[in-house]
Order: sequence, then C-alpha cells, then structure tokens
Amino acid sequence: MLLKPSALLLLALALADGDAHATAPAAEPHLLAGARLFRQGDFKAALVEFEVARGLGAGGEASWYLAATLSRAGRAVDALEAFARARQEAPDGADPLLEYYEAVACHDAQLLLCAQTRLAGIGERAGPRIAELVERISAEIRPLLEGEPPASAIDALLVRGDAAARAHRPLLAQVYFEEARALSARRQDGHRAGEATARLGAAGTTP
Amino acid sequence: VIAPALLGALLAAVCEVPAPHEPADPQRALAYLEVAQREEASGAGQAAATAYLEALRWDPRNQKAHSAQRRLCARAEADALLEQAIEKIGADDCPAALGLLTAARHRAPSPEAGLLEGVCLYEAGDDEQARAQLLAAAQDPRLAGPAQFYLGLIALRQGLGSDARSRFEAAAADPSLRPAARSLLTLSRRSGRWIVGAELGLGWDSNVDLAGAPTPLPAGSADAAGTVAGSVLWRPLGTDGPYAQGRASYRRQAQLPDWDLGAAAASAGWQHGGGVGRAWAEYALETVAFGGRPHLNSHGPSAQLQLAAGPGGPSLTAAWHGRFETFVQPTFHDWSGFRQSGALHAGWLFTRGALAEVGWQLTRDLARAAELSFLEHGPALRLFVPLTKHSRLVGQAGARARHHDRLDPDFGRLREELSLEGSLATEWEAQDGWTWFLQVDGGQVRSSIAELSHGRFGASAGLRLARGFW
Repeated sequence: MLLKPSALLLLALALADGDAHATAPAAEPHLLAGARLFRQGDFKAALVEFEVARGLGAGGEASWYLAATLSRAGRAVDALEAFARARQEAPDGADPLLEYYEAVACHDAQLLLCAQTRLAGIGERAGPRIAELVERISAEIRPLLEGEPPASAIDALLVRGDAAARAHRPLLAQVYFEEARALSARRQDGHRAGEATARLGAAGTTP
Repeated sequence: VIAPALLGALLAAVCEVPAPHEPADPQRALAYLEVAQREEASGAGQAAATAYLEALRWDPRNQKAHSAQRRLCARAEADALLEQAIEKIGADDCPAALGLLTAARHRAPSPEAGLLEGVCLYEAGDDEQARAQLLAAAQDPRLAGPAQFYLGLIALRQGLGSDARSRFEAAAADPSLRPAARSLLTLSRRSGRWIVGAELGLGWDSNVDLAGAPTPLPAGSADAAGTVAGSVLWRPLGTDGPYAQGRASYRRQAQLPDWDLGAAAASAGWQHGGGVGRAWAEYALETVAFGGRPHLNSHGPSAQLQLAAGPGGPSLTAAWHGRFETFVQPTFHDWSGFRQSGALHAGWLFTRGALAEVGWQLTRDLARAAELSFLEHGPALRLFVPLTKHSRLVGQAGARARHHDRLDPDFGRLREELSLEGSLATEWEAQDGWTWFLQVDGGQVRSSIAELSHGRFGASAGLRLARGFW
C-alpha cells in the first residue's frame, strides 16, 4: 500500500482530541481500540472495532475511520461505499488523510477519475508527508487519463453500477455511475452519457 | 496459495476457544455478534471470525457465537485442505488432490473446492460424480465459466452434443476461457445423439484392376473415379449405451465401369465405459455391388476393448471381427466362407495431441475352396499429428504376410504373398463440420506366383461433413 503505519498516528491523535469525546460513551473504547489496532496494522480487527463503535452510536467520524480501514484492508469496493456513506453522515468529517485513503480506494477499484478528483481536493491542506503520497499516486494516474477514455470502460462501469444497484448498494452504484458519467464527458461522442446520468439520478433516489 | 505457516496461524486463531474477558458483558458481545454477522454476509470471513471470537470472549455462553466459531473453524480447516489440494493440482497430482478436496467438502462445502473436485473427478474419468460437483459450482457466478467449461468437456466425452454446445457457449462468456471454449464449440458441433456424415471425393488410381506385373511398378489400368458416401449414427444415450448406424458409398470409375463399387452397411451395438476402459460390441450387415452387379453379402459380429493407463496415458486396444461372407456371382462362389480378423494395438499420446499406434493384425479367411483360404498377419502403424489448430496429418502403414492353405490349382504352386501398403493424408477443418482432405496412398504385393504380384498408387481429394444433432 501507499502509506506506512507510522503515518497513521494521525488517526489516533484525531481520536484523542475533542472530537472523540463527542461520541457516545459506550463507543469511545471501541474507537480507541480501533485506532490502536489500525496503528498496529491489524486492519481486520480495527475494522471490527470501528463497526462496533458505529453500532454503539459513534456517529459519522466512526464511518470515516471505518472507510479508511476498509481501504487499508484492501477492500476497495467496500471502502468506496463506506466513504460515500461517511460523506452523507458527516460531510465535514473528512481531512486530507481520510481523503487520501478515499483516493487510494478509488485507485484500487480502478476508478481513476474518482481518485484524481479526491487527490485534487486535498490540495494545499496536506502536510508534506501526505503531499508526497498524493503526488506519487497522482503521477501514476496522470498518464492513464490522457486521451479519450475507451467506450468499453464506460460500458463496464455501467454494468458494475447496475450490479451494485441490484445488490441494494445504491451508494456504491452512484460511485460507479458518477465515474461513468465523468468518463463520458471526456469523450467527443459522449458515449452513454445520458444513461449514466439517468442511472445516477435513479440510484440517488433509491432508499 | 497461502503459506502453510500462515494457514496454521489462521486455524489456531479461529479454532481455539479464546480466553474470556472478565467480567462478561453480554450486551457488548451482542454488538460484536451483529458486526460479525454483517461481515460474514458480505463475504469478509476473517473480519467476521475476529468479531465472532470477540463476541465469545465477552459472553462465553453465547450460543450463536459458539456455533459460528465452530462453523468458521470448519471453514478454516476446509480452506487449509483446499490450499493443499491446489498445491497437489499444481504438481499434476489430481488423485492426491481428490482426497484432500473430499475431506474439505466434508468439513465445509465450498464452490471452489467443488469446482476443483469436479475437475479432478473428470480427469479420473468419473463423469457422473464430476458432473454433480460441477453443476453445484456453476451456481456460483464467479465459478460459472470454468464449471460450464468442464461440464462441456464431460458432455463432449459422452457424445451429448447439444449439452456440450450450450455449456461451451456459456463458458465462452468468460474472457479467459473464450478461445478454448470456442474451439471446443466447433468440435461439439460434430457430436450428438445423431451424427450425420457425408463425403464427396475425386481420385485417381494407377492400377484399378490390380493387374499383375513382373516389376514392382504398377502396370494396370489407371483411371479416375468420383466417390460419394453418407452415414448416420444414432446413439440415444451418447457414447455410453446402444447405438445403430448405417452407411453407404458409391465409387464411379471414369473409364472402367466394371470396377464401379457400391456398398451399404448397417450395424447395431453397444458401447460402454470411458476414461481408462472402453468396450464396443456390434453386429453388422453389409452388401457390396461391383461393376453394377450384386457381388458380396456379409454379416457378423465385432468387438473391441480399449484400456488406458490413466487419462492421456498409453492405451492398449484389442479388436476382433468375424464375417460370414456370401459371394453372389457364381464365378466367385468358392470365395464364400467365414473370415475373421483380430488386432492388438498399443497407443501413445504425445504433446500437442499427437498420437501414435503400433500393433499387429491377424486375419484368417476360411473360404469354401481350401486353395483360397489363407492366414495373413503383420504389423501396422498409425500416426495422427496435429499441424495447426485446424489441420492435421494422418498416416498409416502396414505389412502383411499371407499364406494360403493349399496349392493354387491354376498355377500349380502354393500362393504366398507379402504386401506393403501405406497412406498419408492431410485434413483441414473448415467451419460447420466440413473438412477438406488430400490423400496419397499406395501398395505393393509380392507373390510367390509372379503373375499375381502387383502394385498401385493413387491420390484423392475431397470434402467431408460431420454434423451432430441433439
């Protein structure tokens, strides 16, 4: 992966400040345990603790940590869905590190425009270490996005989106349809742009 | 493949009952249980195991957590066996893998283990057990492609053409299997419960009437000929069960109508086995017309047994057939009698599908006239060499020594002959079951009666069709 565990101290620090005290008391030990396990690189155990914390009312911040943990655990698709949920539950909960993990999840799920957008959003807010990681992954993506995207990539994204919608994962479906729409916009013929937009709208209204 | 040490650690982590937290907290256990069930439902087995174990630590009396831990332990043990089986398969040791896969299935069935078990059962020739495992694996969308591919191979092996075609069409949806599936789809179009064949050919023969000559070179009547042939095979249960077939052919000479040849035959029999052992038995009727007149009627049984030392291994084939022959024209009455022949062949399959067979054949003809009765035997060689994906070389050669029972009264000498013959053909598969062929062949007979020595060579080309239905 692209980030060493030592950089994840930021997560534990974030949990140790005032934000953590805003969570439900029963959830707090699980948030702390999740952060500790995350720092130790035990992402599966960290994931469980963040999920328990979320179940005990930890709120939006646990959703962000959960999403970051899924990204680090190599479950990119689950991470994309979890980040989308975190953005719904706590729109202001993101920080450069979490957005970086979201970009990594996009990248690992082969959603390169999604990754590029997230990385661009980090901008000047990142510290030197994160900025270096952002630049590394940006440099990897940049040549892959040159030229017109193939129509088959858009077709495949619509298929993946449809599959996610059928599996009752509307947030994940939206991520795929959004990527499909963005790729369509980069083609002169706007391949299936209307379909992508329509499905994005439909997925957005699905409970 | 997961390293054995890591598998051991996973097994220990999941299968050992964890030390409980003090004091117990059933409410907290429920929170872990909820997460565990969600993770398990999403297919994240390791995260689920972590959560179940944590639930168990907070509430050692929680039955749901206990049950899940036992289930996950069985799953982990099955996964460990599966990994070992994959190693065995990688080392071309499917028999050893089969035991591991069966044990894995008994601990915790999984589509992956079922697929591999089906593949190894197919390799072992156990088609029915393989089919059951592969059908179950095909229900998993991730494994449907390879499962359908192997189901297609089983159907093809069993001569169930339409089933094979639908399986290969389904397997072709998987990009990694598409080239192989399409190739086998072409092959499966020639297979089925009904197989219809046809052939159209043009040829030339240097010595149609097998005229004797004092030199090894042919000196008879050369002529060109056109051939048309058709056949139909019905095997209602595929390659394992009863069958009936009929065939007819007609060769028309361009200049020598007395040598026109027509034949029609019908047979019915039973075939059984597959993989390492296979047997056929049939009874056939045949009638031959020569020069536009009835010439020979015959009937008789045939049997064949083939044994192979494992799939793709060396094989041994023993064949026998007997014919009660009745020559219709009075001139040839004395040739009538009982003719039987046997052959023993050993076959080897080489890389890229090349096949070589060597054997010995023996014929005993008991004609009505003893001077026409003979014993004939000699070696035979057959080669089948794929040239490209759609073409092959087929060659055969044989030598036979023939000893007649009595002196030939016309020549006053005992007739003894040595014959050599061979043919070489190339075949090109076109689409939809059509195959082009080009063949050269020849032979030489040296007889103790010089006037009967003769030789010939010929060439032919044409088109064959084989099409399977149902």
